Amino acid sequence: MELKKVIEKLNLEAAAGAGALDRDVKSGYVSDLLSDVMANARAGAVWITIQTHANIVAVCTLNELAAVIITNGKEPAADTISKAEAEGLPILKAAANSFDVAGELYKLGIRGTGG
Amino acid sequence: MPAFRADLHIHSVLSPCGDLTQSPRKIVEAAHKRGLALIALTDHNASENARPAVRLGARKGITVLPGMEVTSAEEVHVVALFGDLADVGEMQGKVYQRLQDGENDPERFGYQVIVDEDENILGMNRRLLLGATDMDIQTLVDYVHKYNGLAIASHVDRPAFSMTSQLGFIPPGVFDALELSPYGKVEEFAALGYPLVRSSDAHLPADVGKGYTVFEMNEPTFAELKLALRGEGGRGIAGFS
Repeated sequence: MELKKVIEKLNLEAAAGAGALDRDVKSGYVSDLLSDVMANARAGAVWITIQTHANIVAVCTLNELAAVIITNGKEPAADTISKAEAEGLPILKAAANSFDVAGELYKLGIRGTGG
Repeated sequence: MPAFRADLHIHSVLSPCGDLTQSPRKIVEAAHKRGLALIALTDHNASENARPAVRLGARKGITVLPGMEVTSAEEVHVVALFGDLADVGEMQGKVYQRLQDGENDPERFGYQVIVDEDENILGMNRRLLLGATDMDIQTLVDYVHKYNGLAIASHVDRPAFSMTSQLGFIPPGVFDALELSPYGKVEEFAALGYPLVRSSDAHLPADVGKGYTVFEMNEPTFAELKLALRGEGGRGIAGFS
């Protein structure tokens, strides 16, 4: 599914990477431990987290993730946004919590990464 | 240049997970027995037992740095060390302001005991010291530096509450040093460009000094430690055990 459609359906706000919203979302992954994401999230996944540190950008790039959704209305740190812009990585903000965001993605037909 | 053994991460009975025998008195006695010249008292998000520890240390000729192990918003543990009680007090105020609300349940998490030099119980800290602050890692480190402290990433080799577990890896230029736990392997962290120290993270007297760092510096003081971590004027880290 195109990322743009996900943004529209879930009413997300793009905080970075506006030029890369045509990416294809292949699966989803929810975790707040970056070591776990590095080990388990697959390429093309959209990652749902409450982490806002700049390291999330590096993890997305490393694992070739499609985008990251920061939930609970949290704001990404300033250097997180600047690094994401430099990498062309979409950072999306959701007011809802991770459970609800994952549920909405599931309804759209997106399934867990590697599942 | 003389060399001194330092164990910069020790909990007392104030930490909910600290053993009930782990009084400042027992800590200083254990440090003395094991030839440590410099230690730090670093309870979880709290520092009420620092004063007696500093005084007891002074009597035994051991420098005790007042500190805390602060929990960041990402649930990364950071050892924050200070040169005096005034600076740790400033940081303490900031931590309490930013610590999540809630009251400790001693039956579930453990007692948070405030004691004096003679092991008399002065009271209990009722805050949820096992909770996290809402300071992200950079904000936390910035505050430590604002109050003239040193910020050391706790037990980076461990799979919980470490930079490695919570944030995947350690970016350059954030901390003053990285801490390895007693069995942590040096090789994995040697190339990151940070000074490496080893500390015990002791929660009971038998573990004090189980991990320590040997610093080459003029005397075992906070000012000299800062210079040694920066490798200034021939000072430095000679090794650790």
